[in-house]
Amino acid sequence: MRNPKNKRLLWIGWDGADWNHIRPLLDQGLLPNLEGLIQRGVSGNLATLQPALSPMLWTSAATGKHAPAHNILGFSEPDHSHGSRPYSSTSRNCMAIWNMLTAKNLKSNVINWWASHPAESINGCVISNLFEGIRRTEKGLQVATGTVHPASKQKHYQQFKVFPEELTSEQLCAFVPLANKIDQLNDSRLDILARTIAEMLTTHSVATAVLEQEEWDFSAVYYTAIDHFCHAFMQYAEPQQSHIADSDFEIFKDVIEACYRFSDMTLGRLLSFCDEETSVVLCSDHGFHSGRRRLRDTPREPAGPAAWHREFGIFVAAGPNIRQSDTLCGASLIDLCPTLLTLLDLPVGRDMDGRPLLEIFREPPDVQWIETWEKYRELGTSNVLAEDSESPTNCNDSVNQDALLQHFENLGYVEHTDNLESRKAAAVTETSFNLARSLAFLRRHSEATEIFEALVEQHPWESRFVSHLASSYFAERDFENCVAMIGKSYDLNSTPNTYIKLLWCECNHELKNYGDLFDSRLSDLSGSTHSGILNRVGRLHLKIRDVEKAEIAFRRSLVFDGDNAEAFSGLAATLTKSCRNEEAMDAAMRAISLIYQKPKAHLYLGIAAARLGQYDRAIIALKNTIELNPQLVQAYSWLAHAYRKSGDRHMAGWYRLEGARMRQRQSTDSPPNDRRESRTTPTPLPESERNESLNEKRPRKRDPKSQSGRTLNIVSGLPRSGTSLMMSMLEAGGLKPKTDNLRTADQGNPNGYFEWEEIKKIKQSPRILDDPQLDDQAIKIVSPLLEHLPLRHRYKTIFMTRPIEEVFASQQKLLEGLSSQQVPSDGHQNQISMTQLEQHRQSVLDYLNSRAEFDLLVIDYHDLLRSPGDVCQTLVDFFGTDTLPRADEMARIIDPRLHRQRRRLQTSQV
Amino acid sequence: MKQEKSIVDSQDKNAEPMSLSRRWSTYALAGAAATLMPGTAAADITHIEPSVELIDDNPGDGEFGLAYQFSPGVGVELDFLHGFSETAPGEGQLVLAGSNILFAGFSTNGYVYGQNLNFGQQIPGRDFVSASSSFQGNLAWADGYSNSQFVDRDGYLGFQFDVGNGTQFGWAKLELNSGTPENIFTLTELAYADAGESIFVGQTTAVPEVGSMALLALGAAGLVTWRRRRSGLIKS
Repeated sequence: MRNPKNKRLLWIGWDGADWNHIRPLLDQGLLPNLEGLIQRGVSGNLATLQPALSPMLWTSAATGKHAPAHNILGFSEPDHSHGSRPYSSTSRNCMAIWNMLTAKNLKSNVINWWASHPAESINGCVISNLFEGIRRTEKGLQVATGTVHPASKQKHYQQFKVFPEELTSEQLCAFVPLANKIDQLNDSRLDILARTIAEMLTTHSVATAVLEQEEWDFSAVYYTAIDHFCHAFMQYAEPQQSHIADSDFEIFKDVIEACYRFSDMTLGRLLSFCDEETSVVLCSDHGFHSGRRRLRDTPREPAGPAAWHREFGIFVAAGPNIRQSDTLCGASLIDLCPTLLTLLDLPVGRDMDGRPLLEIFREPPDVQWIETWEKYRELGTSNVLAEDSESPTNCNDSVNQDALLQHFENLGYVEHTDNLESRKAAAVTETSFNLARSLAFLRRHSEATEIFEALVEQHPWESRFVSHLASSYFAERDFENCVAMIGKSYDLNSTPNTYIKLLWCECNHELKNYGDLFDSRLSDLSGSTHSGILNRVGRLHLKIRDVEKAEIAFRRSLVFDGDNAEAFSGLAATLTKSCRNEEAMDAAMRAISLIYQKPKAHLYLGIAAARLGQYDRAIIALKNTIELNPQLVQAYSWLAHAYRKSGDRHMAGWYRLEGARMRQRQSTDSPPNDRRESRTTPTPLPESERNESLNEKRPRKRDPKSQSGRTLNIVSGLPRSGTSLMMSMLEAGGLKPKTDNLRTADQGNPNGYFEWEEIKKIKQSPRILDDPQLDDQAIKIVSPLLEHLPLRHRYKTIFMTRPIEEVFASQQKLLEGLSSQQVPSDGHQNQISMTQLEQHRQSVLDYLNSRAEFDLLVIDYHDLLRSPGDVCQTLVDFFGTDTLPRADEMARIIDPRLHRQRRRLQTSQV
Repeated sequence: MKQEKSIVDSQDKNAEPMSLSRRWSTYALAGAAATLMPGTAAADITHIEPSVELIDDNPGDGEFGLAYQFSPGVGVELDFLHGFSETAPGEGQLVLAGSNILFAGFSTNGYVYGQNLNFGQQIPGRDFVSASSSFQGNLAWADGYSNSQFVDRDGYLGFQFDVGNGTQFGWAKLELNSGTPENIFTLTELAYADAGESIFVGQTTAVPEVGSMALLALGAAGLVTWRRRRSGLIKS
């Protein structure tokens, strides 16, 4: 229903939607409703903000302000009664767009928005984000007070909550056609799927009910589904990753596609509530890594899953005054609120951090401005009905909040804690950390540094705080303290942390400390596969005037992330320095099209245009540069040059003078170093102790595929197949061997045998594997014992193979050394034994391949000796960098001198 | 996950799954249906949003408010009258009447009353009462009678009629605001299904007979229908 006199707008949020997932589906015609919306509107990338945590992002989108202003600082906030609770609407420090509409007497519906509980008494209807937390009890549905506004409609709308247990196999099979192959006793992934589908259906059902039954000028509907499907199932999507088992790939590979196709159908339904006069905006808060950029390991920290979030979400807008079939460039999530207000003919607050995206309009309106919307705050919730007059602070029904917190915990966004005090402490820590990261994103480094310092003091075992503090010192140009911090916290010769090595190089460049060590570390970093690292390596090469290496680094970065604005901007700088002006213009334009707020990309665009004699264009680009960053003095000189060349001596003179003034101002500005000099940098624990604490405080996540939730690391094979060598390599790579050291190193295995006597009793005592510390160790077990491993665990299993003759000869040699009487000398007997060995090995491999409990990686001993680098990479892919952080060290273990039996055998055969 | 909670038939491990493409094309049909605009719903449900507002500023005058003809010329109408009572301003009742039309409601003490229904309630199978020649289907605002269900309260009214094609069911959404000296009554929506088709309160779009995910993509209406169908299956 609508009031025909007012402008009308539907805003749909798809958390985590990404053009990289969507484009291939659009090409196949699988998303007809989205395709139609794109064709009749404007679409493009939407740059996210940092930290890319959904409650913070969607609140910024709805308020037009960054997190320090709106105060929603993560998933949960400290709470006196319960330790912590999901961030609530009462914690938001500024008005959201629905409050602004209420102040203007317009009607809004708000469905499932982050931090919208308790539902505010706006002019319209709110279904808060605790609606998802509705539970069934013996007495009926349990709904937290304040879940629905107006409260009188709660009973009506609560019927649209969908519970996972309601779903049928037909519905699950729409997402996982091979669901019947899943062992539901030991594999919880079907449960995760059902929960996520139910979540999506709940939002969609209640949203359509509200849109159909309530009058509205503005409706905002937020779906979590795409993000949650991606977190659970993106790892199984095509192309198959090397560490994903074939069976898992076959079963779950289509989940993401199905999710998008169903989301498209829900979009079609929502669009059915919009007439031609209604504007529609569909967006996501961030993208989601896919293809080659998928992570092998999710960081073991609260909100660690956010590492999967790509820096660009999607934006699509269509409506009566929106251009058709056009592309939008350089938009940011922070621009949404000003843009939506402009679409509704409402004024934009000058205190908002974003801008109205006027380029989407067919006829750009005259934007109305007001100083701030906050002066209308009283009116923003003025439509309070008598029945809704309960205090929002009383709307904290703990059961539903606990349900939501548990949901965050399942998703990995909130850390599990046992008691009220530790819950509260964890919430305080995370909100501080998120605030500091947001301040750092806004370049308020000095404020960020203070918070990071306090966090390191309080949590000296948390590596994430240490690296953020070091970064913050660097951003403040406090290079001495940055280097000191790195020195206290890391051994650069052994740390696997490439980011810290990069920071060390950058500091030493600034401090002019060059040398062989600097060169060698910078050279190592050039081989990184991380775009963020490569961009900074490129910048560093530019600073030391090695343009060729800089270009290589930026181009390598683009190989790993083709949408990286920073890489394009760096490439533009490099090409400008090489006077390849056409290419520089192209690269700069591509950077700007991804993120408009890149002053240096505008600068290089201007310089390249000026060099090409395109002075009018150069003037536009250089003026944009100054608008975005007035400190870039180069822009003034080039503007003066461009004006002079285009015959405007007056403007040329003005910019020359202005540039000189800016330079003068910068040279006299004293750096804010008072606090730095008095700074005492905190002292964290050494890296090895931090890692130990991490393993203790945040053990690896339970494996959803095994009954016990545990995965053990196994090395096996026939005796003398290279199992000890493999154990030695894994130890070097960072995975501790489980050994009692009863059998010491000898001539047969100079590096040791890495054996654990107890494991031989596995058949009689399967509970010896119940020790949870074994999860972080590698266990060597001879092949005949594999079939006795209890199947309630899951096993990542390396199985070593080697030509059977060599194995036999090596065993014989070893036995000769132990006891010559036991060694069969008859050639016929040798032949039989070899056949038996071969049969046994095959039967073990058949068993391992047939059991879902074993993730099997077969490694040939000779492949290992021939190509240790490749095999090490395979091992890292299999176990992950979290388990094997020191891949380089593994290859160094291989010692060709140990390979005696093959040579001897070959010699004797010749 | 406990075994008893198993949601997929594990006996059927060797069954060939339907291809993803085929499964999606099946319920994409429903997606297409769902994109129809309100007011131009699928052929078997007619949905209009008249938003006709009647203001009773002179109770007792008995004038006609609105008559909606289901089939012009056939004489089957939904009539809304007001000003039944000879009472002081602000205490009138709204009454409804219709030719060859029955209302979901009840009869007591010689009066018939329209039942105030909730969204999602099925209309066929309810108790229907006749608005007799002298009508008397009482909605009532302000004070009303003790059994009046629409006293200053919004809601849905169910009805059935026959224009010669067989029985058809429908609902009307009413908003009532009492006040002095004016009472405002608004008929905001009206929907009815073709003969032989079922309809529930609030349903504006025909629900195609497709897979259950297609139903659920329709949102609230689909969810209600799916739950009803499933409940029917379980009972049978």
